[in-house]
Amino acid sequence: MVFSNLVFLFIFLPVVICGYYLVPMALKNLLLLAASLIFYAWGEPVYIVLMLLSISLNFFFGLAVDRQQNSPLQQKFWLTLAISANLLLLGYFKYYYFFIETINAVFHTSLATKELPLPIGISFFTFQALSYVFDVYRKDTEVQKNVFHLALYIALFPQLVAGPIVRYSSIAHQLKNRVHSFEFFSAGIKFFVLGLTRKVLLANPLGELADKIFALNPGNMAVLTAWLGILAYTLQIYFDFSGYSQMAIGLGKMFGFEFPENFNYPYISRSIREFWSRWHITLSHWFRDYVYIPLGGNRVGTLRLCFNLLVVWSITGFWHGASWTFMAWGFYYGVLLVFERLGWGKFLTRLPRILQHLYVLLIVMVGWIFFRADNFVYSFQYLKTMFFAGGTSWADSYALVHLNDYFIYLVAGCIFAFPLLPYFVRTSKKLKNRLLQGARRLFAPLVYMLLFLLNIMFLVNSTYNPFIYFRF
Amino acid sequence: MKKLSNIILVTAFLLITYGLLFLFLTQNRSQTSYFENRSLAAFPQITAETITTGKFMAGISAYVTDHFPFRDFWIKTYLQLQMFMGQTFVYDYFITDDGWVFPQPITYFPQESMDASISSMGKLQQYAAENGIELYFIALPARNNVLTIDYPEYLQNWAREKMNKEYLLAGIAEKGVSIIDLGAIWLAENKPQDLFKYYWRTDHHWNMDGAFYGYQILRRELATKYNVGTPLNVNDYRRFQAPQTEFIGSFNKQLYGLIDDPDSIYYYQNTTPPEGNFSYYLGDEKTGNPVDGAEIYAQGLAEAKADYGLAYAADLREITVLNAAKEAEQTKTLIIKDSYVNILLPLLAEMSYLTTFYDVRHNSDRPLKEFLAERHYDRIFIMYNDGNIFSAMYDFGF
Repeated sequence: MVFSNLVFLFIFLPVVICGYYLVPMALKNLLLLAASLIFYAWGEPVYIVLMLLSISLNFFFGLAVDRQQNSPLQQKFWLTLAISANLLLLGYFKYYYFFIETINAVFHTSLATKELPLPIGISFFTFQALSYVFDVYRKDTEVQKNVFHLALYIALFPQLVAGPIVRYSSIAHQLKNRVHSFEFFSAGIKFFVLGLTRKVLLANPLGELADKIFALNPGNMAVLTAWLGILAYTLQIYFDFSGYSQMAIGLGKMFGFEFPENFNYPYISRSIREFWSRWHITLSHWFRDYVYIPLGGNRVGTLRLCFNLLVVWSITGFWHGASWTFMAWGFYYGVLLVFERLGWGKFLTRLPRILQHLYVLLIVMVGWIFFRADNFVYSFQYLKTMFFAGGTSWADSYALVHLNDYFIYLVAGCIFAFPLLPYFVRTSKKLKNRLLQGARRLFAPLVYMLLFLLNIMFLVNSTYNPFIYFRF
Repeated sequence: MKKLSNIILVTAFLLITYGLLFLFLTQNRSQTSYFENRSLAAFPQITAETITTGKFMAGISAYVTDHFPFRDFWIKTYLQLQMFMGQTFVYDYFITDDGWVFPQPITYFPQESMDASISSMGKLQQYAAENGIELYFIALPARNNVLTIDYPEYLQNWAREKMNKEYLLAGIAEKGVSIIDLGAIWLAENKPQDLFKYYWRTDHHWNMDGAFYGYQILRRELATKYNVGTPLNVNDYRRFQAPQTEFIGSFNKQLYGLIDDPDSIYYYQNTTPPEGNFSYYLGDEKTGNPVDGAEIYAQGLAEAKADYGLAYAADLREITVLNAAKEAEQTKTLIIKDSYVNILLPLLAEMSYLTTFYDVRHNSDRPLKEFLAERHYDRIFIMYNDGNIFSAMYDFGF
């Protein structure tokens, strides 16, 4: 099930909220767990078994790692086993087909294989589960002896399918004790409506445009079409993913959970390093804490540092999808981060700010081409058209009609990719006039509900509603 | 004040979500959607199989979407918003300021498909020549091909439909088929702005005036160029309006009736005998079902609201009309048609003793080649609107 769906919004959510606030405290987690499993099974009825297997295995591995506190070797053995089991599950469902295809292509073999449907959110819940075992191993947290609590952590529906990737240590306490308040619930609604708006009113129409253009042959499109396509995709992926994360945070608040922010206006960054501290923050932190730092982090020689960065970023790319284009996309960022570490970053800071912003936007947009395209040939052809080395003309009727029809979404996307809303809220809070302050407070619910109604209208009309990050 | 703001927000959110849930659970369910011309989703079956395969969940999603409270209102408001936002195409339709609706034009050159269409026509021509049958390709003027559409400047050179039509007709002519291009004649005989009166504002067909004008030219061209029949006398026909029937165009229907359409439904009736001399059959005249003409043509006369199919005739597999007035001639004509022909059904039947209307789309189990092997015709008219260029319509089984 997805959040931007009428079944979720008007059946699942009201029923779960009602049940949650009616049952006594002791049953709240059980109810949320049951709701989460139904939520998962709604999209993947068969793969619920996989989810239950992951929960059971990691519960067991957590106990085993914890029990061997006094025997580091044994503890490492159980940790290795836990990592292997989790990666095996992920690898089998997500990468098996890719590996066999690669072997067949390289060695001219014909090993039989069949592409399996990807279990929804497997990359997210596997990483969450691993975070639990790691945290127990590193004694960052107490082992969870209640299987239902661990199950709720792994399967909790708001962040189950597309994050944020919540570290176990940051949520362990909330599983047992969390605060429910009217103010918190209200804040949850605000987050949820804003996230829904990002997804439904911005990401979906922009995605429609991106899909249309990326379905074309880049050699037959105008330069303007190519730029429209990548601009639309750049905005789509941001609003899609950040919208989903924001909805997840909002839903978490409605049920008393506090999830970390996952996006912080990444497109205003002035370096790639800054970009990755603002984009999919919880994933970056996960790789930093569980891969980069164990590899030595920054406290190593330059060569080793470069190696670490390239490894971590190639894996990051590969996490996004089983294809060489994803790996290349990750490696591309690894190389850029290495350059920034080796001096390019310092040089950048001396450039005018506008050039720093343009540098990041251009790098990111080029990266998204490899991320979006199915293969390298298409990506390079697309790049050629973008930079006047291919394509039919500067602009044609196709480009102009789409520029006209999606102009409002593109402009709104560009505006809201900047932190204007927080700025507006901050500024309005400084208003000294009590009457204006009061008007602002009364006006706000009206705006949120108007947005909510607009979302409903778009959803009723929409047949186009895929979540991009479901692939991962 | 902050507390009050929170109270308002939470109350409004809960009212909307629970209110719509309540309405969804309690409202009466429609079985069909008039505007979308389809059955709405039924509640899915609950079985172990439907649940494990996810069919039940997909069915529930479709059911909730189809029966969502105030669905038509949400969709209509969405369309109005799209129009307000200046979208070039709303639901793939271009809507002019004066309420004319045009579908998004074809912007590509489907050469492979058109070549297949031309090849099929060539084979049919060869068959006709070998069997002593006269074959005519009568290109009816498709709306997008004759009207000068007031597209925005950036769309002026986008549509390829007219070029595609030229390519197709040139190819068919090369195969030796006799062509009557009504659209070309219309454009030569009229000012571009005068052609609008021959079409519905919100439907892709020609209207009765356009069809009757086309029929006049057809009769004239057949008589003068090919010595077939006689030109018609306009004074033999009476034009009358369906008194109470409101017309709903196919485009307008898909736009949820958003366009205020002033068009009315008209008919032309021959005031000299032929009308009463017709016998209609669903199928052929020997084994088919004899039916009353009113069951096939102009059913919409009795309705409050009618679309093109109801106002005139629907697309049927095979209709045979016997015209007693031409019994002495014993001429037999096969008309291979698309929906543009439906409005002319009784008029075209005047021209021969026996007229068969055959629709390729409803005869996939009985290709034309097999059909012709069992029948004998003196003439074959292929009567397609000239936007019909794709090979599926020309799949005659040769």
